[in-house]
Amino acid sequence: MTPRIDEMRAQIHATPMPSPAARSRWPGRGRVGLLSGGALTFALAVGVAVLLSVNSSAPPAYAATVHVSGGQRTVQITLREEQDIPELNARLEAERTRIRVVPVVRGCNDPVHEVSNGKVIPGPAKTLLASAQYFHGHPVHIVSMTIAVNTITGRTLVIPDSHDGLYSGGGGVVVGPAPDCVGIGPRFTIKG
Amino acid sequence: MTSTIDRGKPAFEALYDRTAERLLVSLTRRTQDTEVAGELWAECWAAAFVGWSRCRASGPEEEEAWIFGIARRRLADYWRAGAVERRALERLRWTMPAASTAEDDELARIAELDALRDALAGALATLPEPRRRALRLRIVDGLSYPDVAARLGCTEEAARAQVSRGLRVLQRTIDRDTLNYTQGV
Repeated sequence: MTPRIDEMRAQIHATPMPSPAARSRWPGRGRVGLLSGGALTFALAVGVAVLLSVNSSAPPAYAATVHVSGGQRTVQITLREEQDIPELNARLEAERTRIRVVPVVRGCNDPVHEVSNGKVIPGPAKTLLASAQYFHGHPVHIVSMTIAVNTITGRTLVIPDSHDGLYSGGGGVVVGPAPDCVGIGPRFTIKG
Repeated sequence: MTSTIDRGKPAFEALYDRTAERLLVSLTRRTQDTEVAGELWAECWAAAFVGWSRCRASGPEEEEAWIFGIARRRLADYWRAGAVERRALERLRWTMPAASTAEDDELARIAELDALRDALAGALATLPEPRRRALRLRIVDGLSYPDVAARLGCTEEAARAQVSRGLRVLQRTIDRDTLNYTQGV
């Protein structure tokens, strides 16, 4: 096995490490908000009904609970700490959903082909962007949402997540598996 | 806390040196296919290299859990899609390390695939007939869950439960042997 292992190691050694991405600065610190309001926007845009609820009580650190009612399958996602993303995604995978939570990372470069209105957007693959959503000058924080699951083979619904809520929003449906990260888009203000 | 941890390339290379072979053997045992395992393994390392700055492990053991977690996710993607993604490899413009037949044979020997197949066959034989049949329909024949349910004469949820429980038994067999291998190194 050595030649294969040596060959891969040589590639690792010869490649500059990618720039450190923005990472959580607050392990152990209370987290205010997470799942994006923007996810609501894009999910509706692609025909996935999102029944949104903001929990004011103390929900678990993370959860993915599937409900089946009248032939409609929904999954409720709760997430409080960015560090729990892998566990939450493992839960979503175990529930056989094509939904994945992806961290928002400054300088992210992980192009994917996005789907809009059921069709793949033509052109080269692009990095998804997440936009911070503001309401009366305050960032929108969401810790829990319920999504009607309409699983489409080969496509994944990406829900972006940021550690401080400033970049919550955006995401989309992509072809294939979810990217490793989502970039930062422009701020978005909710009127009202 | 995590800011004090060395996330530089030497730490990544140290992780690679510690776990590269073990990860390859683990994937080989899970896929029962040296070629597929090699492709998954290479993609895992490329993905890990790209995501190294986001690794929050606080020590070597957690780092190893992190890379094995990546492997589990890639493996799950493979089972679902039926093909190995090469996104991270392509992004880094890395090539898939080629392996000779002799190298693959050596990998199969180290992974003890023959013994594992016997063990899995033994574990499969211990399953109740409906569960064994559900596994065969889903895994061997590649049927969808609705089709498995139709063949078994049960609901789709029940079919999923049968397959899931059966896989857990088989997984325990693989994990037990992998543990033995790890302890033997």
